[in-house]
Amino acid sequence: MAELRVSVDPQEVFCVPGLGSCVGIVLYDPVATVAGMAHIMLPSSQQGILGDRPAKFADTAIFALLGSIVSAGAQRDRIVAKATGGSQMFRSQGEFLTIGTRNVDAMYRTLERAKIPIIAADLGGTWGRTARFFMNDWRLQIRASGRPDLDL
Amino acid sequence: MDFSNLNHLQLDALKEAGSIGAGNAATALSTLLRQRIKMNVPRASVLSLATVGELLGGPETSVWAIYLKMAGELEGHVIFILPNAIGTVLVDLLMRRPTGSTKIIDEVGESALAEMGNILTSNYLTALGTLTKLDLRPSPPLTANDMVAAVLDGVIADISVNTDAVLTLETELIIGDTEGLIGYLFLFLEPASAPNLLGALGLAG
Repeated sequence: MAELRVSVDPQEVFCVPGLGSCVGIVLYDPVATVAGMAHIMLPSSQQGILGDRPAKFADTAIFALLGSIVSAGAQRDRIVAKATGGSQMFRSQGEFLTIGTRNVDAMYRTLERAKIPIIAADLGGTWGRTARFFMNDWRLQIRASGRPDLDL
Repeated sequence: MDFSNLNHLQLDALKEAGSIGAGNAATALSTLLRQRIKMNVPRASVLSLATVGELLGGPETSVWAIYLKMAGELEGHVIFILPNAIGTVLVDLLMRRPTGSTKIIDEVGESALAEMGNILTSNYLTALGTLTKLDLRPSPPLTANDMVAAVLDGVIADISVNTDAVLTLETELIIGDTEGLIGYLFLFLEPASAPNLLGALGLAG
């Protein structure tokens, strides 16, 4: 959890297994062949202590990811995003159980601030997901138990 | 407080508290299932966010999870986790059916599991409350059936807001004499509640 990875290898596959309320987001520049993926746990670094894992919060994760892929050669105006996760695993009215929704909202707000278009997403619901991102065809594959695989 | 600074004495006291809670939970489970319940010595572990996904044989293991939020003088989350295959066996035991009758857990089976989890976890909290003389209030139980990492990540996120170290008390409950019938009882403690718990155990700061 709260990992951040960057690659320039066209054969790279990023995998984030078992996403519940967490969000898996990938930012990439297909022309430069640079991509990065973060495993976001919480909406906002304003509400907590960051420590040394910027990927923990949606706001810091997206800017850290952006910085890392730009350093690795991505061009700012070609960068696009895909994302999945943000579920509510236990059905209830409780505030803690809305972390998934709040993660998704914070992700959208941050992407807007960073002016990064999100071109595909499968978010929310009440089920867990495993996400794989393939750099050879920029495909985000989503597996959930009892559901057909989804390719975005 | 930062859990990575806990000393051995404090970790032992937490284990002991977990053990008393789990002992009480095991007795309740045993009565309910009419099975012998063995339990291991609880583990008190401080997990980093990097390793927490490795609980219970990998993040994608399919499990049933029964969840209660603990509020009152200690805050945290109590979760009972059963690998999927064990869920069906337990539904048979709870419904007094021959083993192997349940293939798919329906709504009735799900509420039986939820009720069992409720009894188990509230007995755990009752014992912990008696031991510490703290007022603990469990929420109603909620269930989920999914990948273990997915059911745990919201809970872990919730207690990781101000820290990257997660304290968990874990007990394995071994049900009956059949090999591999194991449920996992976890207490995830809110870091802000750690001084309260340690204080109540006579081991403040």
